[in-house]
Amino acid sequence: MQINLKQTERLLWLAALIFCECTSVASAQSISQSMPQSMEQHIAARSISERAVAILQARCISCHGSEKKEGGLRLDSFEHLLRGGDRGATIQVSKGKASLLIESLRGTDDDLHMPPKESLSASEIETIEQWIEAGAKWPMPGDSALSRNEGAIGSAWEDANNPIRKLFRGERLDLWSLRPLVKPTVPLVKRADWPINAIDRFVLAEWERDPSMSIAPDASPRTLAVRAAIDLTGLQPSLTQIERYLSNADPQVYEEWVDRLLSEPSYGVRWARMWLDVVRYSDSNGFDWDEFRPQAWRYRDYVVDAWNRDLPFDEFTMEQLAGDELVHGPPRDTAEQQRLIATGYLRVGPQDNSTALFNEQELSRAQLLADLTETTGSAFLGLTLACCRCHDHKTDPLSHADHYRLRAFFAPVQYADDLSLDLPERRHEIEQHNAKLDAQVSTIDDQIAAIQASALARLKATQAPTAADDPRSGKTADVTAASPPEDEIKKALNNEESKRVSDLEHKKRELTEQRLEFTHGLLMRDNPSDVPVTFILFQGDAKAPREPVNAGFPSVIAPGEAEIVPVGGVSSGRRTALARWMVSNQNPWTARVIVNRLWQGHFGEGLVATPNDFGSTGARPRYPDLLDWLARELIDSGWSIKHVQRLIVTSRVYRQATVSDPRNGLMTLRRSLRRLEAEVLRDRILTVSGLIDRRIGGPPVWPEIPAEILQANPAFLDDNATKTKGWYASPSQEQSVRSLFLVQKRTVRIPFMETFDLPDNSVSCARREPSLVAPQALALLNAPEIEQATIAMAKLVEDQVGNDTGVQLKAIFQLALLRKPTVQERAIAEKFLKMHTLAELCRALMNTNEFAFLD
Amino acid sequence: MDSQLSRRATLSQMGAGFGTLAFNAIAANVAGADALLKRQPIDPLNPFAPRRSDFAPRAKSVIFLFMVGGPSQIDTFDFKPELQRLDGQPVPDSFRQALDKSPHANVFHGCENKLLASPYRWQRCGERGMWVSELFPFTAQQADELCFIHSMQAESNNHAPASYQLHTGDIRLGKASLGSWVTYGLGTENADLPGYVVLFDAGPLGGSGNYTNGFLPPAFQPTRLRDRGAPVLNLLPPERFSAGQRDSINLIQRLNMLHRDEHVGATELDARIATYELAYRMQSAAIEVGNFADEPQYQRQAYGIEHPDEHTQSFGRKCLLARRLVERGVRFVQLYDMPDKDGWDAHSKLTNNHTPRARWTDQPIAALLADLKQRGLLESTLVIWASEFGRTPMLQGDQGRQHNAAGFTIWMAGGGVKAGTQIGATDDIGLMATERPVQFRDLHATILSAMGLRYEELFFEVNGRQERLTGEAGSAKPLWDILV
Repeated sequence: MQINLKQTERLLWLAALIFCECTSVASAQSISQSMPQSMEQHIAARSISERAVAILQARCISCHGSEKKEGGLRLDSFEHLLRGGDRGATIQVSKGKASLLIESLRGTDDDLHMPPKESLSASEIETIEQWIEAGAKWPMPGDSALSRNEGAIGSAWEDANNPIRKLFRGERLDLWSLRPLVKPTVPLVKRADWPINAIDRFVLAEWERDPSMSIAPDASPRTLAVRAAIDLTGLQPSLTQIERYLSNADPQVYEEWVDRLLSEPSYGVRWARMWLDVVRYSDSNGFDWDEFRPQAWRYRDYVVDAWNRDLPFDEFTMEQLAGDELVHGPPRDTAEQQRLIATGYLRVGPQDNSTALFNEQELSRAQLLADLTETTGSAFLGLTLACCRCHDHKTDPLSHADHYRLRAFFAPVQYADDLSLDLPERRHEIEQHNAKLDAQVSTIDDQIAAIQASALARLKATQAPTAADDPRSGKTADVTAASPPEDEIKKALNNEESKRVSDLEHKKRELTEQRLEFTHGLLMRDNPSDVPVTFILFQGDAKAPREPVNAGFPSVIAPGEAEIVPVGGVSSGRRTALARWMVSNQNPWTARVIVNRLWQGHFGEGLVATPNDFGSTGARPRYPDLLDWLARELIDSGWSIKHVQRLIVTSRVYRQATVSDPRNGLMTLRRSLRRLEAEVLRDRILTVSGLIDRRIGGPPVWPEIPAEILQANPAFLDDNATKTKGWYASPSQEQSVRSLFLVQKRTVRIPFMETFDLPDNSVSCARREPSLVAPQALALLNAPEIEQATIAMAKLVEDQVGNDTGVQLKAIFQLALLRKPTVQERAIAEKFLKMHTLAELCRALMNTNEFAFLD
Repeated sequence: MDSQLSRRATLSQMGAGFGTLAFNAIAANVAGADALLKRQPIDPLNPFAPRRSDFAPRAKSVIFLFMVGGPSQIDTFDFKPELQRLDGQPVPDSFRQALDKSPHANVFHGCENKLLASPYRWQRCGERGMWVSELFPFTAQQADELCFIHSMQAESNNHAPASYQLHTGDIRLGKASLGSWVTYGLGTENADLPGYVVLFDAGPLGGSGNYTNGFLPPAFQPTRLRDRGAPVLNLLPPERFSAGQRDSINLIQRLNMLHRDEHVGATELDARIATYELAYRMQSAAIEVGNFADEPQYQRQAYGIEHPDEHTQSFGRKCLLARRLVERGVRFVQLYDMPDKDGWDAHSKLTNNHTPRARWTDQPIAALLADLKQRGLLESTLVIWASEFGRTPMLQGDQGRQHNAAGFTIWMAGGGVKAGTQIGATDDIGLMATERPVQFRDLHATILSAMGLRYEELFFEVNGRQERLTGEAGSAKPLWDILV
């Protein structure tokens, strides 16, 4: 039931997107007055439900939506409409005139006339009335007249004129990921007692067909609890938590454990990393100077927050690609702020700041657009658009033109670094505050000028005439004309005046320092007045344009021109059109690609082993029905990421013990041991040593790193006023934050993280490949971070359990490995402690395989 | 598909890790895979194990001497009498028009329309009488070993993109560097030392993006060695753990063995156990290679380690270390001449910039060539001297020169390259390559060919695309005529 309600809300939201151009005129004018002619025709072509919802969205939602809820009323879903507000039910379905909504729109009741400032037009009210009569249905996404393309060329399967069908002579159309996404039936299995949820049935059904497959035993409760905790939050649980978990006899104890983990703020910290790898997040530009980007973290925090509040993935997609087109001008509420910050997705790629020096701006712009096209292709579609930058794809049904059709959606983008992220109240506050200061400063300026003028006049009176005002030259000097040079003024002032001026200047400086700045972000928006034509580039060369193309989706599915509705003169609307298509039923990739990433995050390998390549050179899905079922489940749950992860983590498949089977992952879906990722390993070291600082978000923390590492880019040896060059280590007490919050530069990388396979953050990374190499052993044995952590851990143990070696030893094992030592381990460790320190024992445990691998 | 899976399984059996990616590159279902499959697969537990080349290699190791910032070709190795004659004159129309028609028109950006003759004297050197300016008296003595390419071109006239292109084949950030590709293709000969080493005081412009493994498995990232003190970061334990290091490793290993007994068949655990032993061996091997005590005095002098200028000493130590590394089987040494943060980027006062930099590098480089030759290592070691671009014959600022990606000189020596040769040429004022322009991908194809690698078949599947150092298949043209 919960899901159904959510679904309805989702539909509204999609409907809102369809009509988002209306919101730009919402506050001032009625839609019909401000719409250009063609737009009016568009509106007329829409179904009654589309029109009605568009009106609600344009005129009502700003006060009766998810943010404001005036009078306890929301008008953003059928459910809310029915439920009504403080005054009771808003509508009576099929009784338009009798509805409270219509009464208040018409103002028939004197004390309730909505909207308060400007009434809806008679025809708008009539539309809503008719809509309520007809059942007040929310429009289905596919209903829109806008999404239909009359008389246009059809998809490659239905139309012989489809360019992809012609280009590849009808071949390549059997690519598995092109198949429409339909929900497969959950299969029946013989061993009906084994499966816990549908995932298990899909898997077991396969295994029952294949005699070489066998079910692994369940993992021990302790192993499973630790596994789920590290998988979901990136942090190992405390000993107390584990012991409480193990002593709880409730049969639902694991489900509750998982629910709690999913609601921990650290869940977002862990899973943001997955997405940030995909979008190649970095805090710096790369290239020559690799300047720090002081605002990039806002996007990083947006991703953390999105995961934590389970922002539906379609909204997440929409906001990153076109958040700015959903917001017009400065943000009015926190939701709008977030949407603007989400456009950081379009900004986080590498960028060379020095191109203008060498007249290479065009080259750099072409690279930005290519990068956006290719990253968007990889991240959302699992498609390789890098190949068709230069030529038709060698194996996939993608043409050279397809790259540029997609690129055209981004053609008008421009940086929006000057856009204020502050909410209206705050903006007003800042403006008022600064205006007051400015007025004070101006008074002081007048005072200073007056003192100086009188001093100069005095000086002139006492001085002998100079050449300039020699009467023989026929000219006289005028003290008020040009401002006299600084030193002349200084000379003119007596001691008392100098002091007064200097006091006033001091005060002026103080006032100026009190000026407040608007908050800015790393944002993107459109330049709708200058939308360049996109050309196909010969061999991808920006200097060799060929024929022009219009914005469009992959031609194999939708060869026509994309329907684009400009957003009220402030934006081209192109990216909204792209984002809508990304999450529409026409798109077979988006949902499959993201559920595969989630699966990979839990099993080490995806159902499709190549998460950024769902093309024909990529791996084929091993359990295609399971993939499709999960993708549909995602959509049906209102694109709830947590819902899908909960299914995965509570499945029986996930609960199996690790097995060392050469076919692990890809074939068997059983887990094998996995070396911890760089972040998880570092966070684990900080956790067991008690150093960890669990705060979330904010500007990145700069670790102390050896000077020789900084030398790796000469730019870091420099300094500048805005502190975007150089390296400025944060105070040592701030350095134990979780690894996600460490600064991530492009040309100098934190050695410990790099050693443990931190991926290159210049191109989309779909999957981390854990390596096992000797420098990792050297880092875990000898790095200063480890020394610091082991000393802290030894001290922690001493403080907690006192001086008894046996007790200390046990405590160290429990802290590090969440278990007591075995008899054998105890004996070995005791012997070691006769010769060596507690810190050395701590260090040894941090170096063990049990610590470095997730079971 | 089935055979693909079984190979995948084989690799997994050896210990998961990056087996999949290596495997994808090796066994991807595409044309050319058959040829590749003949090459030994990469053992994920020992990624640096030496691998057979595709055909008989001319060179086994590479020493890449990267001159950061763009030394001027027309003041070093590309003598232009016409430029000397036209000093102070505007650029003759014919040269300017040819440049404007090329993709390199922006090279003129920021320059004055006024030629600046080289302030250096020139002489013909060696048996073939090749021109070398007075900046490089020591290198001049080795002229007969060198092969000059006078017609290099880069795609960008800006440091970082051009430098990325010379290292990785692409002006964009994020691709894999030559050293990573070579070690990915061939492994290395000495298990106790890293296969891909970088040496610098300050790194190149654009930082680690130049020498990164990029999308290649993390094992192929380079290791920076220092030429003084402990050669590798974290090589030695901190003071307080120093005495107990061996005991600690023993304890770790005993605990690991107990843990392993509970995970029968988990080879990744064995692999990690092995890394601790390797790390221990690496400590002594790295210290040994960085210890010059066994080098005779004359050698130290020859390399400039006793030179009064500390920058010469520093570069000399790096050149000597490079020789010691390749001597011990290290595959790829990338060496940068950055003692500060400027490099050869002489936008003003050319002589103030170039004269000392030549002094810091000339003697050590010549000593390296002579030493390699004397030890018989030169024939198996490819030495490359190059930069991201050259400089303009036009004046910029106060007696300076702007970047020039339109035409510049690099040289190679040893490793199967024809000694005492030169190919390509710039126009008469040294502005643009006019005779046989050579792109970086052609250079890369030549280097890989010298190493016995089929450059088109050395690829790696990234997000569904075959990435190659030499770019789009068919676009690179190796310089076969300079290889013996």
